[in-house]
Parts: sequence; structure tokens; C-alpha cells
Amino acid sequence: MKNLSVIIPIYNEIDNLGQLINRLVDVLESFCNRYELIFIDDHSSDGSFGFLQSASIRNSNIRIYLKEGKKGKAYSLLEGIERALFDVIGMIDGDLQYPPEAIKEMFSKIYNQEAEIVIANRTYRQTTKSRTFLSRVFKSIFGHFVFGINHDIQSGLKVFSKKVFYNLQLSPTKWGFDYEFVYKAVRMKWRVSSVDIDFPERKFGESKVRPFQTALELFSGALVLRTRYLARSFFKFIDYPHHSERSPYNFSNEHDFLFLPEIHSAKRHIYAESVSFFLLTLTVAIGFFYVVSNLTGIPAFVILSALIAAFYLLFMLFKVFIVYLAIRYNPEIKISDEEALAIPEGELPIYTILIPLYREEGVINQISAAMGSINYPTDKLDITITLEEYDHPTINAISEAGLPSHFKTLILPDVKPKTKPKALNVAFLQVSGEFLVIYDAEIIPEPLQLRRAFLAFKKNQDIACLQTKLDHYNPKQSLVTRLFNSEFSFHYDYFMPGLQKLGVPLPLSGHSTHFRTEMISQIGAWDPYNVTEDCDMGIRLARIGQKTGILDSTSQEEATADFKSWVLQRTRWMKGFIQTSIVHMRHPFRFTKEIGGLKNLLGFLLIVPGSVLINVINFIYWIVFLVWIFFQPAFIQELFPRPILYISVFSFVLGNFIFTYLNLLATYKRGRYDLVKYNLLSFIYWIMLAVATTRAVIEIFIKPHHWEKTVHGTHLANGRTFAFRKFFRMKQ
Amino acid sequence: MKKIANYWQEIVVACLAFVTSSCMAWWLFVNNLLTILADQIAHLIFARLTTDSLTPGITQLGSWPPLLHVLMIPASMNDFLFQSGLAGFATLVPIFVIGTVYLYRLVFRLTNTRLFALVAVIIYLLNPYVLYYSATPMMEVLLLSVSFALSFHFLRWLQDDKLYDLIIAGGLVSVAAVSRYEGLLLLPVVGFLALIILLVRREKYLKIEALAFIFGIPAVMGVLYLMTYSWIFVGHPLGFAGVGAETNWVVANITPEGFTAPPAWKALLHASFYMMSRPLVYMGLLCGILTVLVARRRFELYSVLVILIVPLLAVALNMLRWENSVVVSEFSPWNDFHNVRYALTWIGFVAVAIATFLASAYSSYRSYLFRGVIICITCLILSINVIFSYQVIVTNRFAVIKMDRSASDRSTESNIIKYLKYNAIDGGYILSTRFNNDKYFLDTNLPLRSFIYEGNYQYFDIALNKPWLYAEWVIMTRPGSISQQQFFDPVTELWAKDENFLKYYHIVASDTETDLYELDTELVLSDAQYSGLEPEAIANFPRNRQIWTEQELEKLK
Repeated sequence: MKNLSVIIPIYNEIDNLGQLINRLVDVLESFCNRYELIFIDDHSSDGSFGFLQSASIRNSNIRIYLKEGKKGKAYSLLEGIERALFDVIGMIDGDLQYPPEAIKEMFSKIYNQEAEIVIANRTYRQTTKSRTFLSRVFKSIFGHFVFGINHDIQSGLKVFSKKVFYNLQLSPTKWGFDYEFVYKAVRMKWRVSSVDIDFPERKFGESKVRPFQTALELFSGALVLRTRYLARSFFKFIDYPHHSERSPYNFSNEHDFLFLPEIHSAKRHIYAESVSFFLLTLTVAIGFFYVVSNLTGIPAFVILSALIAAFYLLFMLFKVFIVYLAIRYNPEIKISDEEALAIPEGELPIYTILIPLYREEGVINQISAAMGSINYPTDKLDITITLEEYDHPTINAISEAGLPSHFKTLILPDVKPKTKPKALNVAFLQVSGEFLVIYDAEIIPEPLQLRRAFLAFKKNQDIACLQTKLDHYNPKQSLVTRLFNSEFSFHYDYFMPGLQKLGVPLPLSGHSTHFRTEMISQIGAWDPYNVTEDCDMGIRLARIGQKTGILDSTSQEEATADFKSWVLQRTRWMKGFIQTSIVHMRHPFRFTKEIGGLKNLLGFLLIVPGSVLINVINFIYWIVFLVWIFFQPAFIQELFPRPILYISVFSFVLGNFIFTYLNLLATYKRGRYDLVKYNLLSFIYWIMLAVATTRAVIEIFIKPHHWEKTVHGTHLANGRTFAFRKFFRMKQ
Repeated sequence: MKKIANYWQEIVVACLAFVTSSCMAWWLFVNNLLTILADQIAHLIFARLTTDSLTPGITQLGSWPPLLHVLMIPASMNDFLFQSGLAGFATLVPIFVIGTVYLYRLVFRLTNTRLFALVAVIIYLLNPYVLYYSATPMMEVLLLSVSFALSFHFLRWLQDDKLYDLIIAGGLVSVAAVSRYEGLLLLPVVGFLALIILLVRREKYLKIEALAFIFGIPAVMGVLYLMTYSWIFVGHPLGFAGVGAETNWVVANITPEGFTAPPAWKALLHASFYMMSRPLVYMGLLCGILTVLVARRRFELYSVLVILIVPLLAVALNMLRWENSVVVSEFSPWNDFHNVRYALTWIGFVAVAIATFLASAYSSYRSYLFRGVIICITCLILSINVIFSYQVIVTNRFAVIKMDRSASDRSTESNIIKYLKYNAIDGGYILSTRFNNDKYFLDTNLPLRSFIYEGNYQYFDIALNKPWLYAEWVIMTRPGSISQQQFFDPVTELWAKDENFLKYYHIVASDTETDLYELDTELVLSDAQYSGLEPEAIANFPRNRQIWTEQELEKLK
């Protein structure tokens, strides 16, 4: 459809209006299906508004508005664009110096998708010499030289797609709309084309342009803009929005089911933003070490050692504070059984359950039983199981199991990436529930969980997401499961509630997390390239100001039972943490602003990249510790002069004690008395963590998007095990 | 404000404790009684050495229970507080206040009567020795406060079964262990009590096991610390408990012949009379026995009383060895005292036993006459306490402490201190053992970095080898003196009769059993020149107060 909105900002143009309207109507009616003329009157004193009112009575396509905002052409245009109904917008001055007839050709370029912005290039000028001179100077110096745009960027006649304005973030001066608009659009990678026009002398009325005053404003504004962007070109991490954000979420992308702008995805890790931030940080760090080392005479590596010791201490204190908050305030949302059961069935909304499956043929019956145990009307359950089309064993197992009718299966298109979040994104396009929850194959949710979640959402309208607690049903399978279970006890009973109380972003879990479905739309669903899409999701929710609550309801899952599976799974988690850190720190200042300030930034840094960093440092320090024990080389002694040694030893001894003890308490709190003693072996688990994290750091370079499948159902398997499994497994 | 108002009684008790302790500190300061015991000076110096020493840091804390030293570090860094001894008061007064509030809450929880909770507090606060040790750098009040807190949390765990209290109790057991040696016995005793309670409650084995870990881990931290420290710095994990070469030597050479436990325990009983007054001790024992027999919630009371008497039991058990001998004038040929303060460790038991018994009796019979009698007895006890305090403070002026073997008269300055004060200001190092010489460290007002002592390990070892190259001054126990017979002074042992030493040093000041030697600098320099040794290579002579570097030490060897 050839629909066009034309915006005409006017101020005391009564003598030109009649002819302008006639010429515009003639040309627009010649090619448009529908059109509208939007006049924004900047409080004219010559009766222009009255003239337009009578014109609008004769022609219903004419819409007139008295300016509401600040005085000036730029603000009139912005008001007009806001009011435009059609997807293609034209803008033209009211002085008739620009020929309306050119709009037809300009529109056709947009219509034929040759460009998103078409500018009328003024080639023949009949204005005053001074204005012609200034225009040419502006065009050549600023257009060509400064902005690098070979078009008449200050031209008052333009036709463009309305979508160009999405996320453009204009803040023009009185006359500075044109160059800012064109320049920012070009930076967002919108295509610009032009059409040559004559630019005759004004016939009626007076020009509002005071050549030197206006030129000064234009020059200064353009210089400021360019300088700002010049800095942004060097420091890309302060330059946002990124051009991939020029359109809203693309939910129709079936190429890889990435709905997010690429800058918010882990699809590509290396961006100029990350590199520039990394280089700047590195430069500052080197400068810091150089200056401090010179001023104090302390070797740089000792300063580094001191910083690491301080980081350790800070990390430890942060975690202890978090646990204190959890114990002191216990911010979990509690819904009693009575409350949950008292909800009338008619009041319950449709609830979507997504179950992404891949090579899970062994647990199909368990899924069926687990879903069957959920206390929720089946006609209000929208259960979707996603399957890979080549995963025949699971597809066959599902066919054989004969799942109830309220289960839907969805065969995923064979496109990359082959990840769980991609499966979720595909399924998300078909969900019908008001709320949504993801359950992994091996999950056994608490039967009243959906009812509790619904009531919790109802009672807490400000909460977009509910994280339930996780526990294992096979904690006694091996030493690994015992330690894993202790970690979960601490994480879900102390750490997550503490984080919630502190108000910092929560790294969500991959399953048993409940969402308001509309919120998933608002954040562009999952990032199919992030291997811990859950953590990323929590951070993105926080970025749009949404809250996450902890629901006191526990889902049971299977703990990875052997060392190898555990390391593979944890490597993926840690790799995802690295991906999430990289993605969100592409624009650190913007991130700080969006996430809610420095406190939340610090929280994020400590929780997400901090967890990775502490594990890697742990790995190095464990080695240093062992080397010291056995060889006592002098360089290690030099690394730890007395105050640093004290802080390090304090953190080491107290930190180990505190976290071992907290794990122990968390295990006790969950009533797993028999596991309490195993927490004394927590240090083994931390070494395992260090190994997995180091592996993740290596893998992020080698195979960043590789999704290491966690094998489920080992607790159901009987028979032979590998020798190392035997080593880790203990008698139940 | 409303929350604060709910605790008005506790606030009153805290104010009472603060005021009484402060008054005592002022009185002791005015009368020059803050640092008369060798241990008081030693504690001060331990704390100060962590920041002011040739080898500052954790190594200076010593193998004694370190809590007081650690807590006193900030106050001891202030010259006035350190030299006056008020660092002890500044450190202990908040602990004393908290301890007193815990005592109040403990008795209130046991008796549910505010009046008798206050009686226990008054018995405690009226004791002159409690106040004395709350104002001077000693560990007694620290342990008392910790044991009150421990009793309270243990009792609350017993009554309310909250895990939090058990964890705190575990932590306090550790704190007790690093407060005083007597606190070490709390670990097995409280652990045993907790086990009995769980068995009585018929808890499952796995839960008992889990709780054992939850209580046990924080509870053993104190002992673990002491053992680790001793292992690293003393060379034997039980070095802190007197197991090691040095102690064995002392036991072999110094333990009095014919020493047996029963007379020692008798001395301990008499020491209790000195510390708390005879009537109060008898009253405490009587009330303790009667209360245990008639109390309603017996097990709770047993537990509290056991915890409170554990430190005394620890002293009594220690008396099976030589080092904790308590001496009272009745049994001493020299009419002196020693370690009488150990008997103060069970004042908590006495106060709680009396208060709970009186409260129990008061609430058992509603007759006005009976209650009047109880009130009269209470007043009588308190009056006895007042009289006792008056005698100790005003009449005797803490004679028991002043007559202690390790006490020294601080009113007159020693010749060595006088000499060093005016002559050792040029930065020359002073070689001295700390054992028996701590008063010189404190009273000379010199930076402790000037002293080379056994805690400076490599510096001391090297300086002891050739003192004239490193020390301008040497403080030495006089050969043949009682101190030298009792305590081993390696400086005396090595150099007292050495010709080389006497060639370079000459005595410049003397006290009763100690001599101060000054170096003949000119002679050392000329001899050094003769041997081709540069003066700069001699550690004592570059008077710039630089700590010797590893390289220098190596060179000097």
C-alpha cells in the first residue's frame, strides 16, 4: 500500500499555504492510496492556523496541530512524526522553496526498498548569496568531511520509513534536526538515497532563518555531535544503541530463532564494544600498576597479589552479607497449601509448561508421572514437549508411552544453534498460557507449584518471574551428588533469597522458573546462543526493571552423579556465565543505568563474572599453595608480604571455614542430616569447580556455543559403571 | 526507640557495669595499681609488639590464649593507654558490660524474676576483684564474660531449641579457649552436655551426628588455632599447653618437691575466700547444692552451673601439674600470694547459685514472713559483699595482689629504667630477654622496636652470638640471683662471666636482681677497624632505626 504521512512545520506562512496544499494534494493523489498532511503550527501570528482549519474542513486528509512543545522547527517535526499514522513519512518546509512534486520520486525509492531515507539534494539555488554560501559550506564541510555523508544533510525535504525512528534517540537543537537525524540514521546502518531538486527563491513571506545565527547554531551543534561520536568511535562501549537495535525484536526470525538484537546475544563474542572496553581497562590497569609501583616502590606483581587478596576478602564478605540477609529477612514468597488449594478452578489461568527434550528416552515415563502429579486442571495446562527431528529414540519413546491428550509435541526445525534456548524460542511462538514455566526432562515439580506460582504472581503484581527452589532426588548416589546437593541447599536456601533481599539481579535457574508470558515477549525471549540462557534471562529482566521473587516451592531434579558429567555440566554453566558477562558488559555505562545503579552493577560483577574469576583464581592459588607446601620457592614469599599474607590467610582460613559451615547449615536446614558431614569435603568440590571453570575459560575460545548435553536418568540405570565412577560413588 | 525501651533493664545493668568499672579504673590509675602484676605488663606488651617491634605481626601474639592481646592491639597503639595500662580498661570495659548484661539475662531466664537477676548482677559487680580485673589488662573478666554468654545461649538452646543458639554456643566455646586456658575444658564439657540433652530428647542418630558437626566445628576452632599457632611458632602443637622442651625443663628443675594436689586444692579454696569472701563462698556452695536438689527445671540449671564452674575445675585439674600452683599466705613460707585470682573464675557460679536459690525460695512460698526473710538474707549477702569490697579496696588496697610473687612496686622507679629513659634515646638497640624483664619494655617509654628479645627470632639469635656488634645496651639477670635460679636467662647464661663481653660492656645501673650494661662504643669501633670491618656493617651503629634486611642479616652472619 502506498500510504504516506507528510509533515509540514509552519510559522507565519499564510501566503504560501494555499499553493502548498494544492501542489501537495495534487502530487500525493497522483500516487498514494492513502495520505495525510500533518501541519504543526508553531503558534503563527498571521492567521495561518485559521487558514489551515478551514482547509482541513474541505480536505479530510489535512490534520492540523498547534505546537505543544518547545519553539523551533526541529520540535515541530518530532511532534509531527509522533502523530503520523503511516509507515512512510515525508517532511517539507512550508515556504514552498522545496518542490512538493519531488516527493513522488522520493517515495518510490522507499517503496522499492532502495533506501530507508531519501533526501532532496538542492542542486540549483536561487536564494541569497550568503545563505547559498553557508549551505554549501555546511554541506561540503560537515556533510562530506565531518559526517562523511554525500547528501544534502540540511535539506528540508525528506521522505523516510517511520521504522528509522525506532531507538534513534534524537535530541536536536532548534535547527539541528536534519543533520542529527541523518547522521544517527546512517550510524544505525539505514540506507540513504537522494533525489536532485531545484531550490528557488522564496516567493511569499519572510524567511525565519537568520543566516549567521542559524549557521552558528548548526556549526556548533554539528561539531558537538561529531565530537561526541568521534569519542564514541574510539570508545565503542559508550556508543549505544547499537545498529542491531534499530528494529524491535524480530519474532519472525526462523533462520536461527534469535529474536534479540545481536548486540544482546552471545551469537558473536567479539564486538568493537567489548574490545574497546577491554583495551581501555587494560590500559588503565597497566597505568595504575605503573604509577602505584613507582610511587610506592612496591613491585607490580605484589600490588596484583594485594588486589587479589582484597577481592577475595570482598567476595567473602559479600557472600556472608547475602547469607545474613537471607537468614535475617527470609524474603521467600510463601503460599500455604490451604491457600493454594483454595483457588477456585475457574480462576486459574492457562499455564504453559515447556519441556525441551533431547536424548531423554529413558525418562519419558518419569516426565509423564511428574506432570500427572501436578495439581492443576488439565484443560488449563498447555504442555509442550519439544523434540529434535533426528532424535528418533526419544520420539519413539514418546509414541510408545502414549502421553495424555493435553501434552503437545513440537518437532523443532533443523536449524542451528542446537541449544535448549533455541528450542524454547521455537516453542514460545506457540504458547497460549498467561504464565509459563520450563521443566527439564528429569524434573519432578512439587504438585502445588503452579497454583502457588499463580497466587504469588497475583499477590505480587510487580514480580515478572518466580524462581522456585531446587533439590535433588538422588543426593546419596555418589560423593559428587552429595556435594552438589549441599551446594544447591546453600544456593537456594541462603544465596538466592539473600540476593533477592538485596535487590540485585538474580541469575535464574534453567528450569522450574515461572514467568509472566508477556514479560518474555518484552525481553525478546531467550538467547539461543547463550549456554546459560537462564542466567542471561534474569539479568535481562533486571535491565528492564522487572523483579524476580523466590517462591517457597521445591522441584526435585537429578544431580549429575559422576565427576565427568558434573564437570561437563559445570563447564557449560561457567561458559554461560562468561558469555553473559561479555554480552552485558558491552555497554557498561548503559548497563549500569539500566540495571539500577552501581549497587546492582557491583552485585552483577560479583555474582556472574566474579564467580568465574574467583574459581579461576582459586585454581591458580591452589597450585601456588601446593607448590609452596612442597618446594617453598622464594618468589611465592615475595608475592605475599606480611599485610597481604595476613589478608590472604584470613580469607583462606575464614573463607573456607565460613563456606564449608554455611553449606553444612543449609544441608541441615533441608533435613538431610546424613549429608551434613560430607560438607567437610567441600574443598574437593571447590577444586572441581576450579577445574570446570578453567575448562570453561578455554572452551569459550574453542567452542563457545557448544552445548554439552547433561545425561539424565543415571539414577535409574543399573549395571556397569566406569572405574572412575566407582571411585566417586559410595554406598547408599 | 520503642525497641530500645523494651530493653531498659539491660540498659540499666550495662550502665551500672560501665560506671563501676570506670570508677575502679580511675581509682586504680590514681593509685598506680593498674600494672602491678608481671602478667598485666606482659599482656600489654604482647599487644603492642604486634605493631611496634623489629618483627611486628602475628608472631608477637605469643602462645598464650591470644584474644586479649588481639583485642588490645588498637588501644595499645596509643602511647598513653599503653604506658598507663589503661589499654586494658579500654579493651575490657565493653566486654565486661556485655558479660554483665548476659549474666542478668541468664539469671532472668533461669528464674523469671528481674529482682534476683539484679541480685546476681550486684553480687558480681560488688566484687572488688571483678572490678579490678575489668579495669586492668588481664584475661579473667574476658573468660567470665564469655562463660556468661555461653551459658545463656546454651540455656536458650535447651529451652527454645533454636539452632542459632547452638551455633553461637559453639563459637563461644572457641572464644573461651582463646580467652584463657581454663576455657579449654569447656569444649568437652559443653559437648558432653549437648550430647546428653540430645539423647534425653531421643533424637535420631543422624540428627545428633549432624548437630555434633554444627556445634563441634565452631567449637574446636579455638583449640585448633592454639595448636596450629603453637606448632608453627613454638614447634609443638601442644606447646601452648605446656608440652615441649622448655616446659619439661621447667618442670624438671623448678617443680617443688612434695607437691601434691590436695594441699593445692585447699589453697584454691582459701584463694576463693580471698577473692569472694568466706561467707559468699560458703553461701554459693550451699545455694548451689540446694538449688540443684530442689530446682524445678533441674537439667537447665545443672547445665548452667556446670558451665560456670568449669573454669574452676580446669584450675583444679591443672593443679595436678606444677604450673598453676595457687599460693595463699597461710600456706606460704614467705607469707606471699600467687595466682590467687584463679579462684575468681567461679564467681559466676556463686552469683547464679545464690540468685537462683533465693528466687526459687522466694517464689515457692507466698507467705509475707518467708518472703521477708528471703529479702533480709539477700540484703545480708549484699551487705557482706559491700563490707568485703570496702576492706579490699579501701582498707587493704588490694594487698593480695600487691603481695603476689609476680607483683612489683610501681611507685618507685627502678635505676635501670631511670638510666635508660635518659640515656637510651639515641636509638641504640637493647638486648634483653622478655622473661622477667617486661617492666623495662613498658616503663622506659622507648619504642619496642629498640629491643632485641627472644620474640625477634633471627635478630635475637644473631645478637646473642656477638652482642657488642648489635646491642648498645644489655639487660641481664644477675648471676646467682633468685630470678636467675628460677628462670632461665640465656643472656646471663652466655655472657655474665665472659671476658670478651666484660671487655666491651660495663654496668651502668642495677636493680635488685638485674644489671644494665652499656657498650664501650669507641672500643668496638677501633676493634672493628682493626679487623677490617666497616662501621656501617655493624648493625648497632647506623642509628637510623632501619629493620635489618635479610641480606644484612646474611652479611652479618
